[in-house]
Amino acid sequence: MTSPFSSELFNSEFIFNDKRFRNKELILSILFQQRGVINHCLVFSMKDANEYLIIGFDFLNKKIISLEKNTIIRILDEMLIFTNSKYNSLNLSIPFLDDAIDHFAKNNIQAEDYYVYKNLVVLGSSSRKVISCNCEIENGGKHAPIKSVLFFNLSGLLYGKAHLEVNQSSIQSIRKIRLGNSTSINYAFKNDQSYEVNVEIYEGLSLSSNVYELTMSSFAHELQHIKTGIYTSEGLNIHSHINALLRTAGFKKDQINIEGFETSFSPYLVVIPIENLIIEYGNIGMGDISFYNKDHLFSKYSSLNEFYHQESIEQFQAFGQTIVEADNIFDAYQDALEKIQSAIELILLATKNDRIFNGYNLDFEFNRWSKFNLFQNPQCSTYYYVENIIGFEKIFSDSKKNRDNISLNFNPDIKEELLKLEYYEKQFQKRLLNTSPQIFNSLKWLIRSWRAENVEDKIIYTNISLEFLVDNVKTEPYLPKTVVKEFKNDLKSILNSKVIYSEDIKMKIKEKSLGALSNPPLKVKVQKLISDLEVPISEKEFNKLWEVRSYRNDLVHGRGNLNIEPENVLVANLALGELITYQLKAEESV
Amino acid sequence: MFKINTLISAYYFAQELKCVSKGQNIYDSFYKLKDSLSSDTWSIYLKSVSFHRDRHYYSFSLGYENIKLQSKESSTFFLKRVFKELESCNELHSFINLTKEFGEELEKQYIILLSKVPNKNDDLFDSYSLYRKWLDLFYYTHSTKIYNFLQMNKDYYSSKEIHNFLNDREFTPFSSFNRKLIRKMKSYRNHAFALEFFEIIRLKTMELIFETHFDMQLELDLSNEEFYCREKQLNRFRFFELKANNNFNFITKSDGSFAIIFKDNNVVDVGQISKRRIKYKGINEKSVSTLRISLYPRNDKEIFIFDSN
Repeated sequence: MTSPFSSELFNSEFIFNDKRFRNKELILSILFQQRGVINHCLVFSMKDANEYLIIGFDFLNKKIISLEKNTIIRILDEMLIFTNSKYNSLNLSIPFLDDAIDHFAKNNIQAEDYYVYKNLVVLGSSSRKVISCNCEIENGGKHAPIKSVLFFNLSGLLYGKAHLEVNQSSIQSIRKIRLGNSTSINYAFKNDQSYEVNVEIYEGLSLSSNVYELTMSSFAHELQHIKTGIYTSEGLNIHSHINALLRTAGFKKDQINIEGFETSFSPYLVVIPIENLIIEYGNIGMGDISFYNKDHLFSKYSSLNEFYHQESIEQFQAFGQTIVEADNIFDAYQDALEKIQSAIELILLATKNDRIFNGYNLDFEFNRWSKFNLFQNPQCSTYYYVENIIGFEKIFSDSKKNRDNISLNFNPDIKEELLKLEYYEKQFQKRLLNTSPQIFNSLKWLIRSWRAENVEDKIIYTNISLEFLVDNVKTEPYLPKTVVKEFKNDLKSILNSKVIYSEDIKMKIKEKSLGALSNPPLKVKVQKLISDLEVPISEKEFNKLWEVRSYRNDLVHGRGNLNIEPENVLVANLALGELITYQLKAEESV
Repeated sequence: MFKINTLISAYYFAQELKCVSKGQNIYDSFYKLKDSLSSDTWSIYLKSVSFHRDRHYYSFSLGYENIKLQSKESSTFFLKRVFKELESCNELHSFINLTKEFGEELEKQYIILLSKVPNKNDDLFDSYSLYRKWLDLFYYTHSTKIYNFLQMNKDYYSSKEIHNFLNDREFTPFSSFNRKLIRKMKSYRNHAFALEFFEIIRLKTMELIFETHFDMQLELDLSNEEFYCREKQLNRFRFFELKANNNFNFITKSDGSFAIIFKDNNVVDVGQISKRRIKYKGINEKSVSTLRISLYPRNDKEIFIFDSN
C-alpha cells in the first residue's frame, strides 16, 4: 500500500494503452474524503497538447481505477475552487472547468471509457469502488471532519479544506482549534494502516450555521507571498544558495537540512553598503572592519564591478568591509552584519555625545561637537556582497524580505464582526475621554510587538504589554499575614543580635526583603487574571507565554546567545490579545 | 580599474609598518645606525646587506657576517677598518638582534597567513590599522586561488617528475637553472611553473616588505617627463624599460632591487630591477641611464586558474 501523500507517485510511471496519453506529467494528486469513504484521483497534463487527464487511483492495491460520476463532479468542483483560490501557486488554469461540471452532471457514464469534454479527459465508469477510512484532524483535540479534500503536488501539500460539523456536542471541541497549535490530519484504513500529514491551518470560516470550514496549506506555500530582491551570484555551492534564499524568507538555520553535501569553513570577504554615511577622504577602520567610500572600494575589489547593480547601489557612498569565517555565504553575511553594525554603533556613540572627549582631554583644547550629530543616522543597508576568499563563490543580493499583500481588506465580513463586538466602541469612548485604564496602553504595546520586525523588539514590547495588563490585578496576599508578621519579628531579633548589622545596613535589609514578601510575582497576577476572566488559555499556551517572559529576563539582564523560538512569541501575542479582549469586555460594565 | 595585487598590498603594509610602534622603532634605529657610522662604512655595509636581500630581515645579520669573513680573508686594510668600526658599534649589534627577532615573527605570521585567517597577534600587530593591512594581504594572496590550484592538482604533485624537480631546483625562483630544469621536463611543465610562481609570491612578499620598511625601494613617477619608458612582453613576462636622458642616476637613487611605478600618485606596478646601465656617450654628450624592470603581473587575481595544457 502506497501512502497517498507520498511524492513517490510523482516519480512513478503510469502507462496507458491509448497513444494519446503517452507524453504526460502528473501535476496533482487529490485526496477526497467524505463520510467514511475516500477517493484518490490523479490529474495529468499532456505535454504535447493542451489537455488534462483525470483518473482514479487505488493506493491500497496500487491500481489505476475509473471514477464514478458523482465523484467526478465533486472533484471538478474542488478543482474549480482550488484554481481560483490564492493557494494556486502552480498558476494552474483549466479553461471551461465550470462548463465541464455541467456537462458531466447532465450526461451518463456507463461503460469504462475515457469521457471527453473539450480539453478534459476523465476515465469514468459506473462501477463504484469504495475505500473506507476514518479521518481525524488533530488540533487542540481530535475532530472528525464530514468532508476533507487535500491537493498535493511534487513539492507537497498545496491546499486543503475540511468541513467540521457544528452541533451541541462538537462546539466546545471546535472552539479548541487554535491558530498557534500544530495541526495534523490522520487517515485510518481497515487493515490498521494509517497515514498522517502535517498541515498549517490558514483560514477558519463558518460556512453556515452548522458547518465550520478550515483551509489548510503547508508552510512552504507562504514563500510565494514573499519576494526577494536582487540576487546575482556565481559559483555558489548548494548550502550557500539554499541558505541565502530560505533564510531571507524567514526560515531558521536549524529548519534547513541538506543531505549529501559536505560543509566546510572558508574565509569570506563581506561588503555591506552603509546608508547615510559619507567618507570624504581616506578610510575609517574599527578593529578588523574598514569603511571605504565608493571609489576606494571599487579600486580595491575588482570583482565588485561585475556584480555591482547600478540602480541599487547608486544611493550609497560608503561601504563597510570585513573578513569572517563561515560555512556558507549567508552565515558569513550575518556574522559580518553584526560586526559592522556594532562598529557603527560605537562610532555613533562618540559623535552623539558632547562631553565624551572633554572628559578625557587633558589639554586646553576642547573638542568640537554639533547638535546636528544627534539627527544623523548611518546604518547598514539590506544589500550585501560576499565573496569566498579561497573558493569561487560570489553573490550580490538584498536581504530585505518583502511580503506582498499587507493591506487589510476591510470587507463587509469584518465590518459585521466588529459590529457584534459592541463593547469595543464603548471602551474606545472611554479612551477618547481619557478615563480609560491601563488596558489601552497594554493594547498599544501589543500592536507594537506585532509590527516589530526584530524578534528581540517583539519580546520586549510583548512583556511591556503584559505588565500594563496586570498592573491593577489584586491577588490574595502572597504569604499569610501571620507568617509575614512572625518573619518580621524573627528578622528584627536576628538583626539586633549581631554587631555586623549596623543601623544603616539594618534599614537596607528590611527595605529589600520585607517589601518583596507581600508583592506577588507577575506570574501569580497573570494566572489570577486568567482565572478571574475565565479565559480559555490552555496550560501549553501559558507555558509558551511564560517562555517569552524568560526571554525578556534574559535580554534585560544581558544574557546573550538566546535560543528564541518565534512560535512562542506568536502564541504569546495571541494569548495576550485574548486577555486584552476579555478584559475589555469585563470592563464594559464598569 | 582595480589597482591592487598581492605585492602592492605588501607595499602598503610595509608603509603602514613604518608608522607603527615596533616597525617604527626599527625604522628609527635604522636611521640612527646610519648616523652613527661613517659614510664609507655605511655604504659598504649596505652593499653587503643587499647581497642577501632575499633573506629579508636576516640580511642585516648576514651582511655583517659576510664582512667579517671577507675582512679575515682579505689583506686590504680598508676592509679591516670597516669591520673594526662595525664590530665596535653597539647600535649595530642591537639592531641586528632586533631585526632578527622581527624577521622570525614576520615569517611565522606569514606562514599563518598562508593557512588561515590571521588573528590579531599582539606581538606583531600592535595596532589595528596594521592588522587591517595584513588582512588585505591575506585577501590578495588568497585571491590568486593558489589553494584551489594545489587542491585540484593534488595527484600531479605526487608524481616523480615534480618530486625530482622540487629536489633539484635552486632557491631563487625562475632562475635560469630552474627554467632549464622545467624545459627538460617531459610533462607537468605548467605545474612546475605554477610552483615557481608561488615561490615568487611567497619570497617577494617578504622581500618587498623588508625593502619598503627601510626605504630601499625605487619609486618612479611616470608623469615625470624625464623618463622615456617602454613596456615589452616576452612570453608571459612583462618588462619595463626606462631611459632617462639627464643625470637621473638610477643607481644611486635606491639601494634595493624593487621598483614601484606610480601614476598620478597611485601605484600602478611593482617590479624588480633586472638591469641598470649608464651609457656615457662622448665628450659633452649627456649620459643615458637605462633601467630594466621585470614586472609582477598587474592583476594576479585567480592567476592560478589556467588551462593545464
